Amino acid sequence: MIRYMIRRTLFLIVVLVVVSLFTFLVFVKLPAGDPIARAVGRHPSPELVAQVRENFGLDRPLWVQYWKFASGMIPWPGLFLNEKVYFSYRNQTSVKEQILGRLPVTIALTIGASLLWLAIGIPIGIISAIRRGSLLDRAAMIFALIGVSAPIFWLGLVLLYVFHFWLGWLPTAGLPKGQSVVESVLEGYFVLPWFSLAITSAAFYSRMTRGNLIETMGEDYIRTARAKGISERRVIFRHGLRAALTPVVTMFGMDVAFLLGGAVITESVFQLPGLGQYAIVSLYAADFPAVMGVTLVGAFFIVVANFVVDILYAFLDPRVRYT
Amino acid sequence: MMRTAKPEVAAGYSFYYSVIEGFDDFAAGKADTISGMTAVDDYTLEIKLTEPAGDLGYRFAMPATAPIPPNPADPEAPLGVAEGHDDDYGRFLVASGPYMFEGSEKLDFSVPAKQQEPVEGYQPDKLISLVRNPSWVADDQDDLRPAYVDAITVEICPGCDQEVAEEKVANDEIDHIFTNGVSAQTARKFSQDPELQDQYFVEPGSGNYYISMNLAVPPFDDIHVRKAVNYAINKEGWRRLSGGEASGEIAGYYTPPGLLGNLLEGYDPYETPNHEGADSPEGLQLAKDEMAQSKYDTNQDGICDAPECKGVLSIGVVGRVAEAQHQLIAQNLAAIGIELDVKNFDNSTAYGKIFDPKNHIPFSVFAGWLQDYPDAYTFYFFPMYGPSILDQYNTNYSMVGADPEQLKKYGYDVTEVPGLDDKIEECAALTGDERVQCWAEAEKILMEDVVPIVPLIWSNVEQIVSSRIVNYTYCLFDNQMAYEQVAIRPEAQ
Repeated sequence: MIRYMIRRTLFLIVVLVVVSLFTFLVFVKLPAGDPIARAVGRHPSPELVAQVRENFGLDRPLWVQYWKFASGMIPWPGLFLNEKVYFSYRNQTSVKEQILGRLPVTIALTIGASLLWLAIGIPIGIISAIRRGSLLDRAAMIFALIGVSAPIFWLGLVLLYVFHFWLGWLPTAGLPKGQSVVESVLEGYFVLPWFSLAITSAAFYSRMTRGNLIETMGEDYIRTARAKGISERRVIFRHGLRAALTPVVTMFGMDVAFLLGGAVITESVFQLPGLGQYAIVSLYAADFPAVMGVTLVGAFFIVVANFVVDILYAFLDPRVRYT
Repeated sequence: MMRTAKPEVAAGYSFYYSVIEGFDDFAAGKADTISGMTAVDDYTLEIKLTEPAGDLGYRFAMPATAPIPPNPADPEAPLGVAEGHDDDYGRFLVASGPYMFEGSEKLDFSVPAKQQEPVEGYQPDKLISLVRNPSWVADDQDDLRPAYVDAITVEICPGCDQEVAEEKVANDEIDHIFTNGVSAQTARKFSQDPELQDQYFVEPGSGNYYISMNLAVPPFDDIHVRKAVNYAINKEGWRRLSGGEASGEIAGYYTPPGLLGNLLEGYDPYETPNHEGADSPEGLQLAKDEMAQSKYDTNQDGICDAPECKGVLSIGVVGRVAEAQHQLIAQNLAAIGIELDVKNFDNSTAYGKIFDPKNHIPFSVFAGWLQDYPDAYTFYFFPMYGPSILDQYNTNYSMVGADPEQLKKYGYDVTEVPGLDDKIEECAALTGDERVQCWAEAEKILMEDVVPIVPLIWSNVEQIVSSRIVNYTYCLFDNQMAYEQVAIRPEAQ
């Protein structure tokens, strides 16, 4: 197990290096926008252009430029997202400060939404599987179809208009000034964003759980368990669901990691100052230190989530053993 | 000013202050101070210029010249409290007006710059929170800034859904949106709903949109071609695609009328019926008559028949509206024999192409200009003044006033193009009514003798406010609601 973890950790580092290299090449060396043009304003003198180029480090050799960015990913004091490189020229702040300041919003959004979609999606999937063909199953699958089909930006706007602007039951978009994320959560500012994200994902999870559970319940070992006289509830939850949920866990890990990198549309509709919003604005402004920072943090979450999911496999599925 | 001149700060607008004696020497490190600026006493600043600048007052109204107080802990620090904040003074800013960032009183300039804590009232990309500045004393004789409201909170939400913010204004949850314009749906709602009509304003935007023709690239090196293009464009159609009348006033000339004291009211040298250009029979005939005088129309039938008129590269930007407008322009020009090679790019790429004078871009359809301050100089100095042509990030897309040396340097075959540099220099030196009159004269020279552009519209800015706002006032300097003039209705407080 330890050897496996060491191997996966090394693999994680390689993935991050590759991601950082691609991000650097795509967003810094082949940018659609010209970061210098954004920074120098109208009518820049050649001296000003040269100064800004120097400030951004664009006058240095390619490998030096890359190393400056790559070293910012080393989790060591003074190196990790260091301000000399990871400094947003668009709003004159350190990228680390922006990311750390926005992370709680994105984490709150992710945790709430993911718990909600698990709480909605998995029970619906289980009920549909064990009551296959029933009215309940059909109703659940219609919900799943609607959820899968509804674009998040549309769903978000509909929820906001109905539950805030019309009924006034839930708070508006945005977070109140001077309030912590926890206070905002307690006051319900995340309820609509959570539901917007959760409804779509819950639909996926219910379909996936249903399909997997139906397949698993037809396996030989389930028949054996029943033949041994184990109660149906125990057969489903102890033997069937455990195997059926393994792919769901994989998907969950990836989805959560993806959201931690920023839920761009949801954050935009609900005016949440999270990582997704930061990423998209930085991208539009060709603010490449910010784009590099937020992309690498997002990539970090995804590879770590992958790693955690792989480890969890062993606990969920007794057939999996690490060597 | 020393901070603005400092190369490390890389201030984007420092060129406006090059007219101050010694400014450039200080910027180049050849002097310790700016020799042309002397504080005669606590209330008098003496400025010596190297050339006349009739708009100096406006230049000193820009944020770059906001006063920075000395550091109480280090009175000798050349940049005062901004010392050590080359990149981020905004978050350590000491206010000099009626409002300040919330938490400014906690700024501690006695510790080194890197250890100072920024104000809590300014969080980039998130929040600006302004509260009353206790150090500011209103002058009873000065009613410029009544500053009625006690606090102004700006939620910054770049990239956020604008329609949600607009609904919040309609719902009185927020009072105003600090942006350029509103969505078409909201504009319709506010302009048609009797209960919301008083909260909807269409203001002159002090900006324009125009088509740029490169004077140094055939066939646009021929003034008759350029005039024919002016007659041919269906400006009304272009505006309709933009969203109709609210998007702006159809432009008969280049500079927004307000900056010319409205002296040129009714002036439109290339007017066609309903501004429909070649899409109206009379407009098409006017365009053909002009084209017939061009050397590129060899049989004088009003249709350009020279190879220079085929496959003319035309740069635009991507987007449903912009692409439709580009197609309309191409269709209009086809009627007089100019076949455009239409290319649309994302904004940055498109600008990257037209910024470089070596690219010889003949025609671009997405140009626009916005004032830095309310004076026509800001419209002429960059896009219409020969000496302003730059190797990189050039905004004189038409190469107006380029001298033979510049044309040779950038690889043009054309050796001479028209310009109005002398007139611009003359106007720049004047003040008051004479100055405005001079700019109006320059405008006629530009539109009749140089003709580097097709003016399309002078843009409007649509504003919506909540029902809580009273004394709505529009600021012509920065084209936004004047926050220091408005108040909150007493019953809504």
